[in-house]
Amino acid sequence: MSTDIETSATVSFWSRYRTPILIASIILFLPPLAAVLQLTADVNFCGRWCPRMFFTWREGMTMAAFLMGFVRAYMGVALVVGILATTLAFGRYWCSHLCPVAAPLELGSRLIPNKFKLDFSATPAPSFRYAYLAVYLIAPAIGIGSLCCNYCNFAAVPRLFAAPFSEGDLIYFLRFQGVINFGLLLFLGIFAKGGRAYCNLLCPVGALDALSNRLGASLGRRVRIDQDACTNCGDCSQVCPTWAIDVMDRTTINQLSCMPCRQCQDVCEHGAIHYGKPAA
Amino acid sequence: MKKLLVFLFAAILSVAAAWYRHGDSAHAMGMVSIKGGRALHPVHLPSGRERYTLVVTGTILPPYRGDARVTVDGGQPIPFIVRGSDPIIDLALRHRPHFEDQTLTGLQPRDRFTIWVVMQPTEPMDPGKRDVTFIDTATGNPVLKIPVIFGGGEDGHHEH
Repeated sequence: MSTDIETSATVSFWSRYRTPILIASIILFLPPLAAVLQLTADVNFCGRWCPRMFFTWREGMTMAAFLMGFVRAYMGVALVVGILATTLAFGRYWCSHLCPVAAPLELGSRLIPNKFKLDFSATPAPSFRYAYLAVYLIAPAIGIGSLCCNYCNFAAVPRLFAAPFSEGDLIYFLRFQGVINFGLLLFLGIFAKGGRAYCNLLCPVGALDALSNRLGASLGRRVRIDQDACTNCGDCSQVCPTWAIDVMDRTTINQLSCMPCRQCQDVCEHGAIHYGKPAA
Repeated sequence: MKKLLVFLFAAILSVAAAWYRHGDSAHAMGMVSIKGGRALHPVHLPSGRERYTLVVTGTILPPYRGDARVTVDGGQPIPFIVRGSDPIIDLALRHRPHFEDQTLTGLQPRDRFTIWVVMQPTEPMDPGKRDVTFIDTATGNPVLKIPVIFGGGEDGHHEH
């Protein structure tokens, strides 16, 4: 076993302070303050900060127009590149700790009594997620339509926070598309067990990030299970918000869904779960 | 097998979601310029709805500077309201245009803006073309016109 591990006995800053970090992310990125976005004269993720549109090719588009999308959304490009690069090395910390769009869904979900929550864990998340991502990329390219702005968590969540203060943002929800987006946030977010079903099924940035997580799993730091210490009790799978842990003959973590929230590590009484590089 | 079925189900659901248009809203993009501006594409909406929401995002092309009033004109008059998207707590870290009284103020080259135009016809809409027009308040000249084409049926079209 590599010595470069962190067990439940040495829980890191990122693990200990995950909730305050999520709250700080909401305060810094979302209205009414949105301080980080105001650094570039923006008020939300639409425009310069859009992390979803620049990598989609639309029917009839020229290469120049495609590349202009990267220029137009330069902060979104920087954000996505930064997310994917850090994920290769350290795992999906953006998704688990920093994403201001996911944070309110997970924190909101914690306030809902368990009996009212929907459990999506029987759904094979990667299958659903990558079907969605495939359509997300292909549909606009062949002219069927677009999922990009119509079903955008990065548009809907900031407007949800701004709507009580701004009629312009409230208007977003007073149309069919707004109602559907609001419903998705409730259904797959706040009322979902773990609050991460939207992230796990419908977020294209999360889908790309999960690929990066899987690709870098053999070299980078990830949440891992020590099979010698694991008793196959299944406690970890019960608390996993992205239902990434399978308990079969042996317990395994699917790096296509795992993010380093470390809730599994917190509940493991046997110290079988750690965050670190793979064993040498 | 379950994974394959879920994949197919999600793909079909996603295609349907991408294809279907509700027709009560659309997104338009344009560039404001001293020469009259340019809309990236016209907006198509079905007629017969009680309320339409048009999100207009745009960029200011040099050398235009000024204030631009937003109006809906052409054909049968439509009651409308326009709302902006200003910061709720404005930290004033960078210059940005503001929206007040149907007018974008303090526009400068390379500024970007988002406005929401809500049209609420009081009687059934006649098919035909209207324009969301940005008029420079100093000269009275249009600096951007976005064509909004109301069709006869449920053919709302939403481009990005």
